[in-house]
Amino acid sequence: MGQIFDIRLIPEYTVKLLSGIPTTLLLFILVTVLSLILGMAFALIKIQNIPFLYQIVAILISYARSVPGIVQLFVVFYGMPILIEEFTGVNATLWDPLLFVVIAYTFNTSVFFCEAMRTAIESLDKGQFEAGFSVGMSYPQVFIRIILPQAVRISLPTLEINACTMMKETALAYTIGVTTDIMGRATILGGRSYHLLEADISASILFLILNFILVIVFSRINKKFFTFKRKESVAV
Amino acid sequence: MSYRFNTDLMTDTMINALKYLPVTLSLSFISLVLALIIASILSFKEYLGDKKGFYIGRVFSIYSKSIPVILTLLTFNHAVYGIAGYLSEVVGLNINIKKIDPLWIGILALSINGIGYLVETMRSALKSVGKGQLEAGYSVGMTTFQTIREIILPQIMIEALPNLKNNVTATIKLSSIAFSIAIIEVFNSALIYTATTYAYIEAYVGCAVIYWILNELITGGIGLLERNLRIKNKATA
Repeated sequence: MGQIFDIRLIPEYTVKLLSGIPTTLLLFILVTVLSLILGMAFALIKIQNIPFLYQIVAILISYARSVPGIVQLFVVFYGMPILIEEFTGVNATLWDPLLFVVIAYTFNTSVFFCEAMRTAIESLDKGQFEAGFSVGMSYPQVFIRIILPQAVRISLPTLEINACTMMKETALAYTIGVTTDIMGRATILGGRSYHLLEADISASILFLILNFILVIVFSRINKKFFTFKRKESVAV
Repeated sequence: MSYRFNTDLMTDTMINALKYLPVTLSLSFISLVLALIIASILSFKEYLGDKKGFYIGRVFSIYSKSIPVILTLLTFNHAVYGIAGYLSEVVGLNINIKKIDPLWIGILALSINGIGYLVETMRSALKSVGKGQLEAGYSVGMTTFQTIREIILPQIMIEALPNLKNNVTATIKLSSIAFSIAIIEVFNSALIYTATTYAYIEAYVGCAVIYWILNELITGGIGLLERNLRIKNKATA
């Protein structure tokens, strides 16, 4: 083995690993969108205090907060096919592992999104609801037109942190056989050439860039949709 | 074909995995303590007006915020073994690569990952205490060290505890990723055990149960401590 560490390989590998970005981004966007929907549902259940469902959500929150992401991923990846076969008779063992990654991380992230949105909604004044009802709006109308825009603005920083964490955690998908994302490609590239360290550093650089983009996107969202409201609230 | 969940194998795996609980705990707590010491030094430097502490803290927090722990672990693993191999092969030092315990690499990687989060925790705690406390200490003739020990530390302990609780559980959760660099802890021992039993799902569910109980216990314990400290503080105030 002539070269142990070749710094010239890092740019080369970084360019090669760019091909893993679509899968990583797809995973990220799918999980974020699904978690927003599911997290909202969980938050509503918690706020409305619906019996039975409330207890289930409480258990789910405790589970997703205490159990490591990788264990959750393995439980879903090995457990879901058994459940699917038990109930529908379909053999799911050969389905794309990406699907199970999405399921596992949606579940994990939606819990964190739920907590972020629940605290945001609960931080709003009860009078907001009452004001809406007083002008004859129905509950869904009040929720969508008055509560949600404010709650999203309040919870955006927390959502951003949770989204960043989730993107990092999706790197673990390579452990269950996803080979097309950044981490999967880096492992293959490093293993094939024995330049493992260079592959790791290139993947780290890519994650750093992706995260910077994410932070910029979130601050753009914040500026574009919520600065007007912020100014207004300062003036009042 | 119906599948039967074998609870006996699950308890077997759990008992086997519990033997490695000390490894998980030492991995997470040693790295937490190391990270806490460095993070405190950095954030206190920033608090006392040193710009260097601020910039180093920022670098650490950007690093751990954006780079997956698995990459940190693998990078350090490959770097340490690469350097050791280079030293023994090319330079000719007498290093036995097999004798390097991956636990130390895990502790190194996890503490570097933890510094970023703990710096933020300490910074927010110090911010909530405010600079006026330091000046108040100076005004009665206390030194910087005395002010920090007598006035600021008791306050930030309470302020930092809720965030610290999150950091502790996060580190314990992250320590399960150490299986990728061949540290035998709870999760990895369960993985190894499945090689003989083929009871995969039982092993993973068992692991989930262990981590679940462990983290709930730790969160509850720190919550109790938090409440205790708050009540004590109110009583003395």
